[in-house]
Order: sequence, then structure tokens, then C-alpha cells
Amino acid sequence: MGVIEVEGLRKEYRRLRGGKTTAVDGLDLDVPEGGVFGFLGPNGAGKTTTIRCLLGLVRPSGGRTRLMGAEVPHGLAGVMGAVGSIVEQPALFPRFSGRRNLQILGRVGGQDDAAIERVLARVGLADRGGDAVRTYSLGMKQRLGIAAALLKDPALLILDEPANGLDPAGIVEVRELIRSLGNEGRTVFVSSHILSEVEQTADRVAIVARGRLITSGPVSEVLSAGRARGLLVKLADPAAGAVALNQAGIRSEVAGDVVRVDLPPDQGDRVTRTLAERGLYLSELRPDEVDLETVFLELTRDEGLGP
Amino acid sequence: MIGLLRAELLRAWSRRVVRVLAIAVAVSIVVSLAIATYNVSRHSGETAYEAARQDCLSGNLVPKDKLPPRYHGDLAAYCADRVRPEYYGVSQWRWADLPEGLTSGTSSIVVLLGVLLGATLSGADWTAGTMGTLLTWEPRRVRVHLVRLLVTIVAVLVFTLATQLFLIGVYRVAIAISGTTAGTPPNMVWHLLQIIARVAVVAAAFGVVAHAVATLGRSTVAALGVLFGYLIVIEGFLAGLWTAIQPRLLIRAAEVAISKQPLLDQHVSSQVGPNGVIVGQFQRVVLSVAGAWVVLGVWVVVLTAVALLVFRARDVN
Repeated sequence: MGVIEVEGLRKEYRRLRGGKTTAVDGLDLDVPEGGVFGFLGPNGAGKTTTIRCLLGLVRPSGGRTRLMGAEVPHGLAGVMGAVGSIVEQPALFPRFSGRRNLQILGRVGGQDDAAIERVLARVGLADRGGDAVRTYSLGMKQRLGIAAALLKDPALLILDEPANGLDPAGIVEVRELIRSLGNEGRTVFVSSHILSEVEQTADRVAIVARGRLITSGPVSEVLSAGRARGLLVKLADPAAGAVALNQAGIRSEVAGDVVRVDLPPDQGDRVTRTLAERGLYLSELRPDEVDLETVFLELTRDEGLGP
Repeated sequence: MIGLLRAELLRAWSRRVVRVLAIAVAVSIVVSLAIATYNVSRHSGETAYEAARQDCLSGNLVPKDKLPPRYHGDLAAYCADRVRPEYYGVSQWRWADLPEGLTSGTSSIVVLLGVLLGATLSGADWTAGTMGTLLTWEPRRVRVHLVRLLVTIVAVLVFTLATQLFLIGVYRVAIAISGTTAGTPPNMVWHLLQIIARVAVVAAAFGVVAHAVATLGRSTVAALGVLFGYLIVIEGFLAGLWTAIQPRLLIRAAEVAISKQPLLDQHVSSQVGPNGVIVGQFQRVVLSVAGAWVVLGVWVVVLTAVALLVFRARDVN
């Protein structure tokens, strides 16, 4: 049983001038327990709406959602104590201090002041906890939101674009935090459009577009579902190398200062032998790895959603 | 439930607007009474007034058994009404005037404080966008709404009771400086407590109405705009154009509930005897005191129910 189960989720919004907009269109999702799960999709793909449906903030037009085995929304109260979340920008009282905001939430969940100090320290806000939230930078607000989500010591964390507004150092901090939370045995469900971040932190991903699931699975599987892998060869004269390989029946092309070879990575010996026989010696041979961004763009382009 | 209640109480207490309002109200009361006290001067008519009052109290003006029925044999109350310091050139604060001052002078302001508090305690979460955050901690919306409503009622009651008690306290100081307790009815304290309790309860009712409107409009400003627009403009028009609806209006009901004076028909009806002679005249009661509380209760219950149903069903962004 997954900690998040979504079956045929639909959400339609009425337009002011009649008609309906479909934000989520029959989405299926199964998030297993433990680890980091990346939830990817272009703007307007329905990621935030899906998260809102999961948390009971938005009533679905159809379908079924379960959170930690509890039906949403009726069973939410029983599991919400183990679910921490941020939806879009963390919404907190701007005139209250960060600490006071957490105290108010802590009263609801029964967390004491020691827990509040612990999460403030964990997100690096212990020194600024007494300042009004309106004086915080966007990144600090984001970290305070993460602190609020961590306050329940949750088994499941749902983070909607947690790296929004963070500087590079903050992004690295959040990445490490998410990774460490995943390693602690918690389930971290993180939606993001920063694909490199998700690639580095997630164990599994789901890609959605136009409210539908495009693909889902372990990161390695999703990556291999992209275009075929090849090899990249670096040598003094890339053009001569490409000609030699093509003459030997190995399809290849010059790509900048390297030659891209259309062979599986485990056939690198054919490339080295062919080039050596023609007096060409390579300085580097490595797999042409497909990153998540490339896969994402290809998959969403296939759906007619890409750039 | 208790945790949510503690959280909402902490939130209400932490609101700057509550503290600013408390300070503003306290300063206004002190300053206005100080200025008024400064302007009040004692006059030589005090001796004459005291002599006339004693004369009245001894029954020389009207014997106790011939007092008008509404005084229920209370000669002191009758004399307080009939022998007033201002008739003798005495210009000073009178402790006996406080109940009337509270009911007719300050109650409307206190009730408006209730509206302001009700609107801001409900609307702030929508304005700051924190309702979504709260619901990710406590997803039972009915519980959330009722607890927030309870906190609003408590906050308005505490605030308005404290405001009135503070006003009474400052007024008492003004009496000590430049006033008199002469003519004070014996049951004055009890009478005062009843008045401030009624004003506080009516303010809480208006606070609940404001809370409901702020929930529906998801904004403090919208709630205040709609409510003041309705109470001042629409109810004013309705009361003037359609007198039959007056007993159903909030402001009329509040006036009757606070003053304990029923709303009477403007037209005087005459009772004609068998020989065609008018034997009595009376004014029909349009809204009784009990009826006023019922009207207030209906407003509160209906608006709360509507707000709760909408809040329960609506998406929260």
C-alpha cells in the first residue's frame, strides 16, 4: 500500500464566463513508503491542485485519493498529525515572529517549545526566530515553511516547490535536508520544476502534464525511457573520428568538441578499437547520459506540451 | 479540540489590532472624560439642589404611595428623575446618570467594537492566506469554524466588558474629582452590571455576524464594508421606507435588547368607550424585549449556519 494513492483524480474549475477548466484529468499516482518522490510537471500541469486535493483543501470533481491509507477528506483527521506540508508559498502571519507562527501551529498539534526550537535550528532560523516574518527574505520564509512542516515530526512530507525563492546555497541546503529526511525513513513527496534538484534527491519520480500522468517510476527507469543512450568520445580531431567511425559502420556525429556515437555504453571497446586501427587515439570515452530535464522535455513534447 | 482552542486564543491575543484597539479605547475614555471633567464646574446651586432633594425624599413633593406606577414605590428613583442638579444650576457629574450614559451614549460604540473584532479575527486568516496552513493541521472544518467562532465570542465579550468596566472606573474617578453620588438609587450597581452584560452580549452577537460575513467574503475589509453599508445605509432606508420590517432589523433589535425598552408603534391608538368617548390611549408594541433577543438570535444562527456550510464546502487556496 502506498502512502499516497490517487485513482482517476479529476478537478474542474468553473470559469467566470461559463465553461470549465480541467486542472487534473484522471490522474493516477502511487507513492510508496520511504524515500524521496519527485512530482514533476510544467506550469499548469496540475501539481499544486493535486497536492491541494491530497490535503483536503480542494474538493475533487472525481476520483479517489488516499493519504497514508485514509480516505480524503473524511479520514484526513486521523492521519494529518503525521503529515507535514507546504503548499506553494508558506502562508504565515507576516506581523508575527517566526517563532510565534510556529507556536500557534504547535498548539494545534500539541508540540512544545522545545520542538519549535529544534525545527528552527534545523532550518537555520534559530537566530531570527524572534523577528517578524514580514522582515524575512523569500528564502527565509520558505525555510520557516519547511520548519512548520517538520514540526509534527511527520512520517510523510508534502512539499510544493520547496526551493522556490532560495539562493544557490539555500537550494543546496534544502536538497540536503530533503535527502536526509528521505534517508531517515520518511516519505518526502516533493513537487518541483527544478529538474536537476529532483534528479539529485529523488528515488522515484512521476511526470505529469495537463493533469495526466505521463510516466512514473524509479529515476533510473524514467531516464532510460528517454531517448537511447549513446557514447561520447573526445579526441584531438573530432571530425576525423566521426568519419572513421561512420566508415566502420558505426553511426556517429560531431557534437561540439566531442563525437556522439550511437552505440550502447557497453560497446565502448568497438569504438576504441576502430579509432586505434585508423591511428586516432581518444582522450575520453563516457556514456552519453540523459538527464531528467531532457527526458522531461521529450516526454512533454510528445504530449504536445513542450517548448 | 483544546489544542485548536489554545492556538486560536494565542493567535487572537497576538493580534496587534486587538492591542491597538485596547489602547485606543482606553486613551479615548481617559482623555474625553478628563476634558469633560475639566469643563464641569461647581456652582452655588448645590445647596438649593440638596435641600430640594431632601424635600422630595421626605415625601413632600409626592407621597410615596402616590408615585407613578413605573417607579414601583421607589421614591429615590423618582427624586433622581424629578430633582436634577442642572435645574438648580449645579453642573457636575452624577453617578446616577451612568446607566443612561452607558445605554444611550456608549453602547453603540461598544457594539461597533464587537463588529470590528469579529471581522478582523475571522478575516485575518483569509487575508494572510493562513487558512490553508491551519487546515493542514486540523482538517475538520466544522470544528475549525466553531472554535474560531467561540474565540471570537470570548474575545468580544472580554473586550467589551473590560471596556465598559474601565469606562465606569474612570467615570468613578471623575465623580470623585468633580461630581456627586447624590440621588444614586440603592440598586445601582446591579443595574449597571445588567446593562454592561446586555451591551457585551449584543456586541458579541454583532461580532458573530461580522465573523460570518468575513468568512463568506474571505476578507476583513469586505466584511466591514458590507456590514457598515448594511447597518447604516440599508437598514436606515428600510426602517424609513418600510416600517413593518423594523422589528426584523438588527439595529432596532439591538437597541431594544440593550435599553430594555420595547419598540413602540409611532401611531398612538385610542381606546373608545361605549359612549364614543376616548377612555385611553396606547401605543402598540412592535418589538418586545424578548422578541428583540429572538431577532438577534435568529440573525446569529442563520448567518453562522450559512457561513459554516459555505466554509465546509468551499475550496481553500
